[in-house]
Amino acid sequence: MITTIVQVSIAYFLLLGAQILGAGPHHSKAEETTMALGFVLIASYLVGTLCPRVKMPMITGYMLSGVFFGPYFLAFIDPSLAVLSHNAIHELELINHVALGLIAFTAGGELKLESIKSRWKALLSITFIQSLSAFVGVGCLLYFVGGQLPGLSDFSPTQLMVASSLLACTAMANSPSTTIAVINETQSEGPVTEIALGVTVIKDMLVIACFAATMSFSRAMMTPGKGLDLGFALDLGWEIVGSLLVGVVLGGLLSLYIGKIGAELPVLLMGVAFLADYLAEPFHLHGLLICMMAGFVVENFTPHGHTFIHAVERNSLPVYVIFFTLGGAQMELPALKVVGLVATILVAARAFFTWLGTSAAAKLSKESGSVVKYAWTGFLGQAGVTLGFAVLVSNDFPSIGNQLRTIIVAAIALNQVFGPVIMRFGLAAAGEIGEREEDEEDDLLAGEEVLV
Amino acid sequence: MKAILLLALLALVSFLGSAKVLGKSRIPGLRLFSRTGILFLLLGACIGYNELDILDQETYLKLGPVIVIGLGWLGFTFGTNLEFRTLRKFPLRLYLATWLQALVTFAAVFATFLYLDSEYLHLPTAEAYIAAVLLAATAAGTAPASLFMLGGERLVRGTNFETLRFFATLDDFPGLLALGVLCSFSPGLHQANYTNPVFWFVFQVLLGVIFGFFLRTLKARSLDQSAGDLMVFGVIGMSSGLCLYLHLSPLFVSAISGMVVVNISDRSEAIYQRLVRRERAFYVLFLLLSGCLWVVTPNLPALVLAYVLSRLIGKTVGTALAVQSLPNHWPLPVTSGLGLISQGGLAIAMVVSYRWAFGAYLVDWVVGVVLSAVVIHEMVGPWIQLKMLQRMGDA
Repeated sequence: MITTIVQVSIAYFLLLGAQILGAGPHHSKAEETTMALGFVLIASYLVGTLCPRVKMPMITGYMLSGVFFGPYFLAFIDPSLAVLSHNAIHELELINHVALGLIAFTAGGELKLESIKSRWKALLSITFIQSLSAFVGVGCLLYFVGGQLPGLSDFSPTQLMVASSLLACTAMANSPSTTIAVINETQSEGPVTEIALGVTVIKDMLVIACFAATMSFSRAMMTPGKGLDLGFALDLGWEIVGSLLVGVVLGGLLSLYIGKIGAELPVLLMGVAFLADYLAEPFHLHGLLICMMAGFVVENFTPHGHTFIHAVERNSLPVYVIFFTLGGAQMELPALKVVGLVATILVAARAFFTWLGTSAAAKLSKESGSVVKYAWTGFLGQAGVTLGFAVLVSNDFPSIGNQLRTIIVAAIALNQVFGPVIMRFGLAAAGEIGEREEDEEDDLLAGEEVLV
Repeated sequence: MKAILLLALLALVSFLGSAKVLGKSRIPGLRLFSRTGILFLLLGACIGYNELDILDQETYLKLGPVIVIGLGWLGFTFGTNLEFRTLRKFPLRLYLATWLQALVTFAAVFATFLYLDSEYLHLPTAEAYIAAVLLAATAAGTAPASLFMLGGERLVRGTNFETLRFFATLDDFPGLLALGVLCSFSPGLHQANYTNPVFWFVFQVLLGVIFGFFLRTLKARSLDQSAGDLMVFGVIGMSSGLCLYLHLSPLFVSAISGMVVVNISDRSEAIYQRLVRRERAFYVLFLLLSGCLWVVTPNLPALVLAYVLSRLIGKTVGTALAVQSLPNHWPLPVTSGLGLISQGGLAIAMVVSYRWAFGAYLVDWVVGVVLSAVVIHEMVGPWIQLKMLQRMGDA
């Protein structure tokens, strides 16, 4: 522990020393960003290695490192002390998008068709009952007690109803990237792992649908005389079905590439992950869904699943370190100070109703005791999709949007810190940690040399 | 724009496909193209913001960390070649011969371009010197890739081949040193309080040593392979970013770090092998993005010709002189300089490194000249080497 602190401190002071020595106007963004990126890789990984000692997943360490070196925590003392400034975070967004695409490839690739076939009843019932439980439970609670809570107390009854339904909708969402990262890191395998992964992927589609429907309902409520706009259903259909179709085509093309060419697969996958995310937005598609579907197709419908997953996972460690550190750095700590109480209630209520819905659905589907007891722990992390929703809410509802955005962002911060910890606990209690058989190193590049 | 990006992806895929096809070509130069990834340099030049603008300048700048880390990685890889335990086994005369031919080449290219810069291109004095030193530094070295390829394919073997391979592995050192010195002297951008070039040169060396030891302490932990790679990447990224922040050469500093690590580590070969095998993706991206800097100016062909010819003369004369200094039992023919004309990643890295640190002081054509020359040398180098070694009886 002391060695780790000393090593992180050395890296940090080297960075500070450079900033003092090189202070001046002639700096490009790439210089600061590369310096921050290198530091993040070292410091976050080292902090992450401390976590398993206290039964926490390493990604929590990465996130805490992001919080500590991000634009709020150290900057509270002096802005120049922050390593990951807003500027650096913005510049690293591109790398972050590639990371997200690669994580989505892994999520799709880890989803086995046999497992879905054997558990389809449980997967569907847990997805729907748990989502319904979180939506109705959290929505009702906030509607009835929201008037007493700072942050929501100055809303009119209509505004409170809209706010409750929008916040309830965010309570349904969870983070595929967090789920897959914890599963991969802990090398877990078993019924709880399968349920957590399967439900998370299916729920990603359901949540997009519910977001769109709730937004349309809320717009109708907030604009007197405006009826319910059902046009969202068409957009939604395109977003989900279109993304899945593009994913299928992409999966087919990737498989063809692996079979016929196969060269430089990691480079190609990075390029594809970037393009899928980059091109999804203007076409109103969902980049994460495209990549997940592509991964699923390659793994389950082609003979190249192993090569594909191996190529993706070759880069998984730096991908997770960068992605979750940036996630931590983006946590808006000042938001917690402003709406801490309502965010805490939202987080606690979400956890309770998630547990209730998951356990009930697991019992109904006659799943094993470990699934009934611990599967809910896999659905607490929250990240990108919910954050995107917060931005939409803020833009679409000027009167209450900013307040809601602050609450959602604060809740994401809490969920993202506690979610992975609780998930790891659940996997450990279910006895699934370390159960995955290690793949033999498939030396994809064996025989290839980089000749410089 | 979006459609163009899709086309870019298709281009990348077809390019990767053609790389596969070229890898089986009967022409050694084309095989080398596919193996070293120089094809990606050409792809980068086509899709870059100077030509088709598919990869626009904004995206290019956002991908800056990839280039910067790529520079550090290349320097670090070169540094890991300099392991004293191995180097000690070779006689001092061989080193002197290696560096003599490199210095003669340096002098030939430097003199040529200093003359051209001031007499024909009318560059201001500082820019003329910077361009000449940089071109000379890139010209001094040899890429060992083609010799390694010919050796790996069992097309050549013997004493002459081994000696040339030794020259090619180590003759980048004077050029790299010149780059370090050039960065220490480069005007105007350093802090007013610290303008002494000697200070910056010593500082670069110290920085390399510090990061080398830092990496060693990090790797002393019981890390698995991917965590070990992550630490190497992290340290290279941090030191390279820090160097550019201080307007120093990430290539030079990382080379020193690599040298330190390999000399204080007991698993030096493993470090080198992991570096070159695991991070090919990064190198390929580095080449792709470096290609974007390729600017074609009207006088480029003439300048490239001047560079290629002066380098050829330098290598031939330099090696002839170097051979004279070797003992008699080292029967290398005086014409063997032709075997050292290939150029590769390190030459590209030198010019890109300077472009990133001191872009304002570097005329665009310098990058164009080096990138063009690398492609030409990669193309013809293996063929010339094979023919020459055949004549020497090493084929």
